[in-house]
Amino acid sequence: MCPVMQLESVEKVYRMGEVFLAALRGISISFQEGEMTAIIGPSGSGKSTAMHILGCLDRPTSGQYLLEGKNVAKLGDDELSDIRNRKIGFIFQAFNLIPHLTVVENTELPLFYMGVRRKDRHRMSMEAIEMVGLKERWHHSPAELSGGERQRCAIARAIVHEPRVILADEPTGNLDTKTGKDILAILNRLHDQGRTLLVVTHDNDLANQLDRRVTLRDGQIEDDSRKVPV
Amino acid sequence: MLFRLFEIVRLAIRNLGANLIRSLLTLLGIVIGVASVIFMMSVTAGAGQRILEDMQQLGLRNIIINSVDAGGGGGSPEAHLAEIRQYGLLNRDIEQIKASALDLDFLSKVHQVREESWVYGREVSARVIGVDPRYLDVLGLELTAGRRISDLDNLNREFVCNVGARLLREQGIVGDGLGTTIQVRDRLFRVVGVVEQPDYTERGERAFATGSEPHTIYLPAATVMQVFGTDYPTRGEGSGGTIRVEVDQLVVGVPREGAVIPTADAIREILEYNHGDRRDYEMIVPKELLLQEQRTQRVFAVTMILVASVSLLVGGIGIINIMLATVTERTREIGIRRACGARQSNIAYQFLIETTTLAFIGGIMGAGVGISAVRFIAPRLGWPSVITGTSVILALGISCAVGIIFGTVPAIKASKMDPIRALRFE
Repeated sequence: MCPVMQLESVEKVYRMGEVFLAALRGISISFQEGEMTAIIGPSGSGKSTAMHILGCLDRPTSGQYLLEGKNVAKLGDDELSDIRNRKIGFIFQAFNLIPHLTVVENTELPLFYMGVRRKDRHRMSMEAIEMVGLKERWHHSPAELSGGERQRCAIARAIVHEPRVILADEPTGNLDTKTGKDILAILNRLHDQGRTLLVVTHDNDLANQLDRRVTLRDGQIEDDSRKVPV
Repeated sequence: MLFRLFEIVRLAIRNLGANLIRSLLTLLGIVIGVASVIFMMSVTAGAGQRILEDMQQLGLRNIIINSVDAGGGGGSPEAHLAEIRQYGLLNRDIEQIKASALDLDFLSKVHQVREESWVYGREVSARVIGVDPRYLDVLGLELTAGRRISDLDNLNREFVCNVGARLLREQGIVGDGLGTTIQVRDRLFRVVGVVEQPDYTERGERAFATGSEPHTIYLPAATVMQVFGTDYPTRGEGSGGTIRVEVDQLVVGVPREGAVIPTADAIREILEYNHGDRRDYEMIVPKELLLQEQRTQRVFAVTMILVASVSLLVGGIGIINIMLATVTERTREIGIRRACGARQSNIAYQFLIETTTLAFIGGIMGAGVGISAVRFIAPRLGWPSVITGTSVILALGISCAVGIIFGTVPAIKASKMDPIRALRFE
């Protein structure tokens, strides 16, 4: 079966003035449909860069990125925007909700750029909001929500358009342990529904709960291990 | 696309409302600019309309020449010897105008009768003039009863007259007043027509030389010439002198508006030749005056437009400034939208619409201020004004244009942001 995402000798070099900084040094890895993978590594290991490239927010300096078998490494800005819009859902550590929009309006964002009509948008968003357990607060603004609720809203936004891949960047990083567990439970539920998830974290406990664990160090893959089914 | 536009506008209004004071201050420039555009256009249109009305009352195809008592000795040498003081238009002038190759519609002479008049033994203060039917048209008189003085009246030297309805009413005459006898000096004239005088504008009164008398009595010009002639004893000076005015007023009708100016020039030349240095006549060419006024107005309008443009420019700079700040403030929002799949063009479009909405709201407020200014300030300054739909639409259009022009830079700045950096922005 063709993997959902596949990186082939991907390198990413940043230029900072006179200095060139290699964030990724030839990474080759693939992710199968329905996998839930943790990407861990210390800061500076390149995990954020990997996530940005996998999320089509950035392009590799060299190498190939096959998304659903199609090389997207050389696509233009508009094409990448469209891919993000249709195939990818982001969950961020800082939640990244737009403060002057309500929960439902934040959730609707990907659908808005897909050109879905308002009525349908509202219906689909409400379904996603219900799924993350935020139904009672759909018309609240982010400022009125707790951290856990904000992250639920962000998850609703990441799944509302039924993307192929969900990318989570430290999704529990800003939350207390209990709330973090709740969020992880939601992510697990998404996994059970057969979605492909990538969770970037430096939390070992969290990483150990997922089926697959990729460790990055200095822009290279140090370890790639799968949990043996019990 | 359209459903999105409405949503973005709705969102834009919400965002602007969130920073109400800041938005209002930003809009001040636009508000003043748009208000001044509307005020300027209304006042210009008002002045233009008043001038046009004035000139239409005088007739844009007419040339009016009045005799003016310039004082001092005048006239021909023989007139001087006989202690006759002569001034004003001469029959010779008129003969020469007629004889010239000018294409004229009509030529209407007015003779003023410098005599007192009575109605049933009571003296009335009225100006008495001898006229022909064409002149009644020029004055725009409306007949309310009877008939006008006709060419036949002139031909037969009839003793008939037309008078204003008001004069008859003031003399206590009931009914239509036809058949009333009016005495001028020692002659009796029968009222055959009652007329209503239109309200002349100030300029109209001056041009038609209606003078200070409240009423006018119209007699057939030919009868006047036969009975009263051109010479009248000077009054109040006790010198027993004589005033001679051959023609008091002349109205020349030109068949086409386009021919008015050349005709007026030709007539001016004839008059200058005949009268030399004596400025004992005054020529009024409504068409010329209109053109002159329109030229002055254009200068005024251009000046006002410049002033308005400066304030719109200042307003636009205010907008560009605040929107650049807004874009920076909302960097993270831009990053989020980009992550959710917004293209650069979506982001640019969003900010452009927001700026344009802001400017448009400023335009609406400016229109409100401008219309209020026209309503409340212009009348107190005594300026005529007309609020035209065009001016309001133009002003709103300008405000939108300002929004689009000055919104472009912030919109492009927003759209060019790197999504990753924007997402990390604190």
